[in-house]
Amino acid sequence: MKKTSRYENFLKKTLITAGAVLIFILNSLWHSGEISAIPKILQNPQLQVFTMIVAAILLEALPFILIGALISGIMEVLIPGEKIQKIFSGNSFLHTIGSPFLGMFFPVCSCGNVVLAKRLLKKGAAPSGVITYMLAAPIINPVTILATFLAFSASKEVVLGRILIAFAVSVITPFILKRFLKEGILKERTGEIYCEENHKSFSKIEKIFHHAEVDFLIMGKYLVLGAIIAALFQTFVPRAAFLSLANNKILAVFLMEALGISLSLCSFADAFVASSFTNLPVVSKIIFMVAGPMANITVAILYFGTFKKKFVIRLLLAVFFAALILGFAGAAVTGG
Amino acid sequence: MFKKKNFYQTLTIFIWLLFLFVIQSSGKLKLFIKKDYIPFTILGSFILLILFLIRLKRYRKEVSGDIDFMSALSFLAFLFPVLLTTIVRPGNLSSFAAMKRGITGELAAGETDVLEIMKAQLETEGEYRKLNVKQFLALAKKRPDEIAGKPLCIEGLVFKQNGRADRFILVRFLITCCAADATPLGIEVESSLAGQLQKDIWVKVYGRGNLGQDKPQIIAEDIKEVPKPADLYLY
Repeated sequence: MKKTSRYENFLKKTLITAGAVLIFILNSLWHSGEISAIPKILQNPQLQVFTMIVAAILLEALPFILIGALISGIMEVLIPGEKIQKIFSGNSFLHTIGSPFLGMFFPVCSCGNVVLAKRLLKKGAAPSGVITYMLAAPIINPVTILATFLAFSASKEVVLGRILIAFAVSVITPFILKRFLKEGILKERTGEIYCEENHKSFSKIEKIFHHAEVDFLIMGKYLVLGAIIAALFQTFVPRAAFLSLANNKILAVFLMEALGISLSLCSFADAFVASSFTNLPVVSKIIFMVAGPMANITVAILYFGTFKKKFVIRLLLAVFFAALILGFAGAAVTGG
Repeated sequence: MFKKKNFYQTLTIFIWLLFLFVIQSSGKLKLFIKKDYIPFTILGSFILLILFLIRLKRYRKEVSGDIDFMSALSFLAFLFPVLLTTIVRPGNLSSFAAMKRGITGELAAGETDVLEIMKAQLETEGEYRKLNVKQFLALAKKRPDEIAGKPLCIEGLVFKQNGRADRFILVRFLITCCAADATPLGIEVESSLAGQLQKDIWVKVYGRGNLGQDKPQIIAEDIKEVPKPADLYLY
């Protein structure tokens, strides 16, 4: 309790200071007769690009969050927990191996999948299968596979390489985190106490939309935060200079993975961006297309909004290192 | 009423709904996302509208806690992009974005397939064949004979190279999903008029393709300033 109030005090002081600075700046502009400079400030290229990217990420991802939230609501109200437990249980090894391919039936981007994963866990699905599904579905789905196929001119090596590495990372990660999965990984929420109380007099349709709304309001603000951080990176870090460092195949794998995580591109689009880096080794591009959808900034922030903090840190590290090691191995075997 | 959390939740949904409605009805949505994704935004707006209507219906009966500082802050954060976009009113991706992303003259393999080349318009303007930056680069790679030394006209944004008064890069952004994945495609234009051009203006270059250099080029015969096109991106 003390920790929270100290944190809150810090935030309050920061906001008050920022407000005071803003008022001071506006006052100075007013008195110096330069208030007309404001439209010019708003035309600043950095501010324009930053705003454009924040809005673009949100306008693209928000419908998928809403669709994911609605399906999550339907799942909560209409599908009994036992059915979900049946699909995501049984032989743990078999369901972990089968889970990566569930995205083939439901092609939703990473953001929508996090909402669904949360609902599956709440309905009692086995965490290892859900985590595998959540990591793999944005990549192993028909839309992303087709996009990769088109972007790399029907290169079977790239398409298969991406599917295989995504499959491997999504299966290895819950295996590494096996011990922590037993502890309960979902964040606890107080908001849903009201949700339960309000449910008593709701019709089924109202219940579905009420659940969808709770998910949207929770995940939406994390999506906003993720979009802001990703846009800051895209605005201020020069991509070209970043890639000029990738002068050997091992370093290229590392840098492309870091770039994939930082850019926060949708998995339906990242193949076209990856293929435009013509001088880089193929394996590094595949790692860019695997680590990006699984652990990019926007998705990571959504993970923090859904799972316990310690689990998210372990999850991100496991994905990062599993992809990196597989990338190094791939580069060593194929020669780049 | 102003103390209750559900008031701010309702307000947040309403403001986002209004924002989506305004941005769609004003036609500005295609500034941010690819046209193919617009139906998803419409579907998202529809879901949000139902959420809002159901919330309104239940509003008075709902049990809600009082808003605390952290919840107020998170609602403010949720509304930040709406405020930012409304105040800043972004126009289009500029030279600054092109510089940060690195301009490329190389298309992804899938962008140069036969279908894409077939899309190259056979429309002409006088003797000049109308192409866009992507079609020029695809033809340069796959059917160089169609552009080498041939009269062409292409529209794009002016990107000034440091210290070069005789050339500039004609840029168009290629997007797959949204402006966040935009890749700047560029063609070098050689022209005595280059020094007089301001960066970030839209121009139409009339000239001839030159594939003699290490990168495909246009040797300009005339350059006209044109208004921003209705479709800012290439797909």
